[in-house]
Amino acid sequence: MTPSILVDHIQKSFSQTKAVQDVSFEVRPGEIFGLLGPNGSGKTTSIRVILDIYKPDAGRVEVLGGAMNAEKLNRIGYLPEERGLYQDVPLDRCLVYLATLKGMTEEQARAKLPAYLEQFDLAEHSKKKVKELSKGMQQKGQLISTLIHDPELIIIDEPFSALDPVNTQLVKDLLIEQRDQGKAIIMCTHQMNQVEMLCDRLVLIDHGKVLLSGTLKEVRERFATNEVIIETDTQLPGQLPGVSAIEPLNGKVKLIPQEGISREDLLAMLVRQGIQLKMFQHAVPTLDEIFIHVVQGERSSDE
Amino acid sequence: MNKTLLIAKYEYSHHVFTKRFWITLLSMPIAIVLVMLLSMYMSISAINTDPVGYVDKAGLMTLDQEIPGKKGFFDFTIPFLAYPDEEAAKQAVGTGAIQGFYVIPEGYESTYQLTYVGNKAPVSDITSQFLSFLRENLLVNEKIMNEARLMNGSSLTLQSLDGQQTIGENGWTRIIVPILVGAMYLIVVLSSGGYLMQALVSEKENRTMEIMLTSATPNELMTGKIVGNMAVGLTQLLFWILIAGIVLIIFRNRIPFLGEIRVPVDMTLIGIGMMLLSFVLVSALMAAIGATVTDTQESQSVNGLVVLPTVLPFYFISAFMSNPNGVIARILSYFPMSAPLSMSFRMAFGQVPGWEIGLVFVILIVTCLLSVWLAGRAFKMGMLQYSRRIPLKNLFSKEARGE
Repeated sequence: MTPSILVDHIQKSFSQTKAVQDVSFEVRPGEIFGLLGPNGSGKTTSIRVILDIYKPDAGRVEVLGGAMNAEKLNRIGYLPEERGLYQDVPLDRCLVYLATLKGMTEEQARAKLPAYLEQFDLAEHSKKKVKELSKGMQQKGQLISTLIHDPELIIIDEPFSALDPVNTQLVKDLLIEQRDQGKAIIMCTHQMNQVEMLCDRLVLIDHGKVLLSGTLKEVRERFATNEVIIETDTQLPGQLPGVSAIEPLNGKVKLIPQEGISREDLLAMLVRQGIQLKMFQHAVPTLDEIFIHVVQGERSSDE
Repeated sequence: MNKTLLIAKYEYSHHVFTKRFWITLLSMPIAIVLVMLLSMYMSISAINTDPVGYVDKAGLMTLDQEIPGKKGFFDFTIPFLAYPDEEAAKQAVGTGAIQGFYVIPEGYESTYQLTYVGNKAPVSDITSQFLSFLRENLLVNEKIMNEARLMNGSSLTLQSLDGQQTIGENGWTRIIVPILVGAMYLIVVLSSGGYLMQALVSEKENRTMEIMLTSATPNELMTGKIVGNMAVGLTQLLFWILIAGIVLIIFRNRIPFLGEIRVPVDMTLIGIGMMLLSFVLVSALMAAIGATVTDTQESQSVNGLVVLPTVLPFYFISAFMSNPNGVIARILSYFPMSAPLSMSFRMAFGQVPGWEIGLVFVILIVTCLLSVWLAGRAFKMGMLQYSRRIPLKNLFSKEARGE
């Protein structure tokens, strides 16, 4: 299958600053791809290189099966990090104008817009000037502008900022729906819980370099240990055989096994000790933990 | 629809279909007409149009005064009333029947000396009308074929030494046209350039630039914005020309000088050529400013750098009038920003060598190309810098080349 985006060892510098040093990844149709990294890591520059706003100093980018061109702009929906709408015009006029710039006719845009406005609960605000709308409403307007022309490739930077939980769920459902329709989606966000829920694969970059990439499962397994989390009403002793540390964790307990002790060994030991278990769970690291671990580890090695 | 046209259409409608635009558009001609009417009314109302008497001791005044019908708004004819002697005339002044009187003494034909008696000196128009009336009476017994033509006097034509430049008696109409056209050009170019700058700054302020850059190519974006905002300026110009045309047609016979206005073809063509180049130059510079500053306020303070040199010839208009080929006039006409107006003034007030006109065209074309190049760099570098102003020197860096 031809990837929707192929990024091959791209580099980009501004004056003395190396914004992107070596980034490679590919995004396939029908997947949500997480482009993760701390602030200033090179995510936005990488996206601008993909979108041909910046020319790379080195490396190769293919979008929708080849080099970027004017025609492909109509097949891409982009929600940038620095975003906004024309403030002095009514919302519907602004969205129709932006849709026509994506290749729709005015009639097509006007026909399609009401359903989106209804879906995002903006119908009654469509005649208001954009500057009269709340930040959340403007954000929803931007999402409509990103999706209305039915793009094959969607690039969204922090899609959930300024949204309440109801609208966050709405956007999540919409992204899943788009993925299921075979669209390729790149999502940049700092909200790791959203990445865990939505992304099929991800890449983590910092200082313009790839630190980590793979499917969510692969990444988690790579950082997984034999640590377990248990929940019990039994008073645990100060020390347990084969356990190097016992750490309380939100009403539960994390057991860190000694070298060479498996999770199965721990379970057998707990049963032998007569501990009544309400829960026994493999302590898989969260993406948040992996993110912090990888970024801090990389930065300390740089120092 | 082509994206360039879509962007141009949006820019155009965004400005033109607003109340503010039409208020600005209408306020200009209304203000000009009001100021003109007010100043004319004030100057006319200051003239005392009461009858004036005369005492004809020389026995020359045999004709009755003809009072012509009023043609123009500001025409007036003073009735001249005859009195047998100075005493009677003085009494009439005392009663307010006349504002004063002329005394034509005996032997006037040899001395040509008149006396005016009154509390205030008559305005020159009154004396001129009386002298005209007196001349008609003096000529009544002469056998002259074309008396009316004689009364109108000679026509004077001014000619330069090389014989190439001639200005008729009404040559001021040749001067008024470039000044008026220059003023309109300034308004259109500076307002269009200002709209363009504003359009780019607002893309930054609204954070819409990145969306635009991923919806249209930079060329489509810039061309659309330039065309749209130029159309706004042209709309202003055409509207004013339309108003001026209507005024000319309606009042041509009532305001005499309107009928005397002629537009020289050579000057018009050269002026249009230079103004088009200047428009590109101003637009490109305004675009460069719009791309490198961070907000509207900052752009307003910087655009003075473009506006001031463009309007500079108006400040030095007396230098152009006194010496159209002098140092100041030449310097200003070689400087690209002030060249279109300066050359129009120089051509209006004197003779400009062909090689100089050619040189100015070359200067304008070269600076146009440079400014478009600079605007392209500023655009590449500044449009995604939302909160940072780009120093001028950075436009010449490697980064600005997009490398």
